[in-house]
Amino acid sequence: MSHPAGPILDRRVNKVIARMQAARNYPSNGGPRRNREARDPNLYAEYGFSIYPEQGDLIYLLCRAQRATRVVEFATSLGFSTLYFAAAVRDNGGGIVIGSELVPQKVQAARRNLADAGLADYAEIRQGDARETLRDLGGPADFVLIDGWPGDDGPSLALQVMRIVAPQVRAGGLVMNDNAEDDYLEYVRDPANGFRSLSLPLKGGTELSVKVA
Amino acid sequence: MTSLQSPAVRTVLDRLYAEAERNDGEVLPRVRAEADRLGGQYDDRKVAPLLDDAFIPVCPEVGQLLYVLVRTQRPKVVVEFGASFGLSAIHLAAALRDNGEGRLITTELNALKAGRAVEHFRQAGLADLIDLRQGDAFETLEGVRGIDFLMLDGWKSLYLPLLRRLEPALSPGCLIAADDINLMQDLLKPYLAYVRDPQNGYTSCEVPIDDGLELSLRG
Repeated sequence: MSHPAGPILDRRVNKVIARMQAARNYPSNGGPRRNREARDPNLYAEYGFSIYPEQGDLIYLLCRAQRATRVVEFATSLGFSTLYFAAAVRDNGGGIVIGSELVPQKVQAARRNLADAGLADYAEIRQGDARETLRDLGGPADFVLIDGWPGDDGPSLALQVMRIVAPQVRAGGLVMNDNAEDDYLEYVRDPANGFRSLSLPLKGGTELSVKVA
Repeated sequence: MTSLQSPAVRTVLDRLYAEAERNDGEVLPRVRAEADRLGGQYDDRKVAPLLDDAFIPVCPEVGQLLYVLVRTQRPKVVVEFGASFGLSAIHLAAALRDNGEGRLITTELNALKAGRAVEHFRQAGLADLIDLRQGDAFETLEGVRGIDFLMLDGWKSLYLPLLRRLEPALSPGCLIAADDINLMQDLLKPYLAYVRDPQNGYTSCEVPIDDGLELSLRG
C-alpha cells in the first residue's frame, strides 16, 4: 500500500516504516479474531496486526502538538506504532515510549526495528501481561494507544488495560483505541469516567479520547 | 462535566445545528446551482453573496476534534479565521474554559454574521474568552503575537496568504487546523503543497474527517 509523505522527516525512521509496511501480511486462517480456538498470541509471533500509517501519522503529529514526553502503548507487537511514538518524543526533545508485549519474539523484533530506526534510546519495551507491566508508568502519561487482542468472555482486554492506565493519564492527555471494542467504547463515552471522546474514520474506526478531569 | 456538556453550551449548539440544517438545506443547493451557472470550479468567493445566508458550520465531529486538540495542546492564544455563526469558536472556547487558561481571537468579515456570533458566545457563557474582530482578517489580526493554535475556516483561497502573513506571529509548536481541504481542492492545492513541504517549516497530516482537516505543526 502506497502512502503519501507523512509528517515524519527522518529518513532512517521512514525507511523502517516503509519496510515494515511492505512486509505487512495477515494470517491465512483469518487471525485471532476469527478463531476462538487459536487465540494464543504466541501463534502469531510474525504478524504485526499493526496500526495503519494514517493512524501513525496522526499519532506523531498529536504527540508533537502536545509536546509529549511519556507515552504508552498496548501492545507493542513488532514495534510499528512504537516508531511513530519514539520519533515524536525524540523530536520533542526527549522522552520515553513504554510499550508492553507478551510474546518474547515480538519484543526482540520490536527492539531490532527501533534500533534500525535509531530510536532505541526512546523506548522501553516491557515483556509480559500489560495488566501487570503497565501498572506503574512512573509518571503521568501524555498519550496512550490501546490496540488490544480478542479475548473470550468477560471484559475486553482493551477495557481491562484502559482501567489500569486511565488513572495514570494526565489531564488533557490522549488515548487512542484501534479496535473499537464495545465495552471499551461504552467506558470512554461515559462522561462519568472522565473522558471526552470521538470516533475518527481511520482504519474503519479509531476512537480518540481526551482526559478531561 | 466539560464545558461542552454544560446546559448553556449544549442548548446553543443544539439549536444552531438544527437551524443550520434547515437553513443550509435551502441555501446550499442555490449556491451550487449558481456555481454551476458561473462554470468551472466551485469558488467560494464567486458565490460570496449567496454564502452570506449560509451557516456552513463545522460538522459536530470537527467541533469535537477542535475541543480535543485545544485540551491536549493547552494553547494560550488561539486565532480563528472565519467565525461565521460561531459554532467552531464555541468548541474552541469551551476547551479554553476547561483548560483554565487561554483566549480566542476570531475574525468574521460579514457584520451580520459577526453580530449573531457574538450573541451566541454570550448565550453559551463563553463571551469573556472570545474577542471577535469584525472585518478583513488581514487587518483585524494585525499586531496579534504568540499564536499557539490557528483555525482556518474562512475563504479557501485566503488560507495560504493569511498563513504567510501570520507566520511571524506563530509560536514554535503552533498547531494549524485547516478545515474543508477536500471541498474546493483546486483552491486549496497551493496551501496544502506549502504546509506539506518540510522546507517551509511545517510537519503536516490530513485527518479524513468530514470534508478533510489538515493538521500542521509549525516547527
